Amino acid sequence: MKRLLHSLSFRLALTYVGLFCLSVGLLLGFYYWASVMGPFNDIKAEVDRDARELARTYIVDGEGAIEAALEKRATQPSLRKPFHAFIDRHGRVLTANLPSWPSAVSSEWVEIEADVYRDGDETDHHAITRDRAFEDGARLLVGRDAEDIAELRERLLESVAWIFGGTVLLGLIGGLFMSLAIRARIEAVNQAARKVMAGDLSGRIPVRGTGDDFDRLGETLNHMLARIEELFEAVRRVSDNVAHELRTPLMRLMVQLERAQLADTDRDKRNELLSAAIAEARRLHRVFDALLRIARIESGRYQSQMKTLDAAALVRDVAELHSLDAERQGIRLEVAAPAQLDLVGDPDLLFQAISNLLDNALKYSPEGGTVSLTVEHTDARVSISVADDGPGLDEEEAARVTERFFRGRAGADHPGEGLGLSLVAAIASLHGAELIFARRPRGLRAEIVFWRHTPARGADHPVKAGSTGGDT
Amino acid sequence: MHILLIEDDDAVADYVAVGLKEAGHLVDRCYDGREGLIQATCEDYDIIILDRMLPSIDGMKVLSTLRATDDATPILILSALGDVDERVKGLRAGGDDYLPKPFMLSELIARVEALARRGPVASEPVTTLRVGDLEIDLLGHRVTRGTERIDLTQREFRILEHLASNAGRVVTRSMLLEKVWEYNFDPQTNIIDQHVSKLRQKIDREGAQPLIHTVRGVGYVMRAE
Repeated sequence: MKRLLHSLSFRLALTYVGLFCLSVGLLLGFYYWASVMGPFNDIKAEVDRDARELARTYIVDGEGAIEAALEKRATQPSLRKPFHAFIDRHGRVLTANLPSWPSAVSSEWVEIEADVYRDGDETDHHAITRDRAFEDGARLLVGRDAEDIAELRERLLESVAWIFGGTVLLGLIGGLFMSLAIRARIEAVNQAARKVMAGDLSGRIPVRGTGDDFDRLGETLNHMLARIEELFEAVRRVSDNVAHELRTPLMRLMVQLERAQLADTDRDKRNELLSAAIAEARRLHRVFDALLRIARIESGRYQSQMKTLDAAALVRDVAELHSLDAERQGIRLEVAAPAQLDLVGDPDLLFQAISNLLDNALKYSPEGGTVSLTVEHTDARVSISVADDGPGLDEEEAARVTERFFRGRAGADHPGEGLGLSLVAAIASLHGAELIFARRPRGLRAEIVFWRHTPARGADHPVKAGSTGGDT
Repeated sequence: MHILLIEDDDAVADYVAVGLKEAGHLVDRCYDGREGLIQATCEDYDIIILDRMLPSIDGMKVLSTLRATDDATPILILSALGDVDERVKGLRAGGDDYLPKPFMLSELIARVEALARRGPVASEPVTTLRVGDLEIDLLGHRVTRGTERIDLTQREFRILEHLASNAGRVVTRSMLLEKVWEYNFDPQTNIIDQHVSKLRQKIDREGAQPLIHTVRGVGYVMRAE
């Protein structure tokens, strides 16, 4: 019971019952006023009028006159049966059709049960009576029947208890059911939350499919849980991979250092091994940096410096940076871009992303091949793409290529850690852009598609998205 | 040079202090922010090397306090927070250079020496740089070696300008990357080397005295031997 009183839904129900009682009370009050008080007042006014007239008759014309007037009044046909009693100054009842009256004169209204028996039948009457004493000691009671209204009043007062009792009872039962129903729904949320707290991130809140408030809350929380699970899963996958992938370089590092230690007499040899060890350590450092960076961008902790930049100039800068690489490998590097193209983005990250894509394209293109960097735009989107003549990716590879440490079949012959495209995917996602890998007749086309004027798009885009597209 | 090193990690501080001393610098060490701040205001240093995360007073707070009191001593920030956005934050707060951990000692020394040269005193604007018989006209963007005019692309000119203005001092690859390319990024391959060697082909023709030298595993230095 105490828990019930603490429950918000039950307290709300109680408040509701209170308000409901108040409105029922107002309704009954108005009804009472309109159907009981009003007619009563009308009757009282009539009785007052009668009493004033009769009193004047007595004062002006004396006993005989009032007796005649009262008896005449009693026999006159009337909607409300008139009642009276006149006691003369000696205390004798001169004329009366009231069965009884209070012994003391009252200045208040007197209500008298004046049932009439005639021919064995009983007719109920309820007289509302004005009581008046004269200076000489005579007393006049004048009244009229108000049986119907008195009865209505009685019934009304009787039913008030029932009406309020019923309202409170129904309200309480309704409130109890409501609070139990709401408690059951909340308990479902609680249970799911406890399951998640216990470490099972797959716990979800049951949704009934009715689209009610609790369903909507449940859906939102489920989305949240799904996102958390996804991020958590990503973190776990990465840490698993990291541990695994770092074994090899660590192994090489250890071997190089050990051999350097053994080669302490051969100075050149030792220096060579130590240089190799430093290079290995640097590579490890770069892998760590790249991993941390991807993770920070994906989790939204990276504080990007978004601004309007010239995408065409940025792409040309990337091309210029890699031009010597292309030249050295005998690859033609073509750039097709408008003179200027505004795009909102983080220049450092975009430079990194396009540089990574171009680096890959150059790495996989054969000598004599062509790599083209293209910037295109419509009103709605800006596309930056890198196309090469390399071996391309098959469908399975395209689906996995943005995973950390993933290296395709063709990658085996090339140096790299398999982090470049993960970083590109994370950067694309941060910009709300899509990263699409499309197969070409010969080679691969990697494209980043930015949506203009809709910066909000990135917000409800899952971070992992922007990974793979179809191979059209 | 007189250097103040504010770093709470003993091992890192030892490593850095020993390295700097071997390179011929005088190093004072502090182990927390408060001590460092007091020391920095008591004495006149050529350079302050400041760790970002320090006990008592945070490195960033030390930095902003020093800058707020018009102390213009060049400050190099060391930090385990190595990503570009953190770097931008450090430089915006008034740092002159930002070196993420882990770093190679050679990198640190190269950066410290480059910073010290910049120094707090604004020198007269330089319009011509000379290394050996190489002359670089910064205003006209003209490069001549002896009597011969050398044509350079814009990027090559900027690399040369940076190397020449640091003549005699080592310029690391990452320093070149930051100063010549205005993007903070991690080149996947040895692209910087390719650009430098292309420049070198143009500057150091066969038979001429070489001016651009590779410092193995660190970077480049420009000097006429």
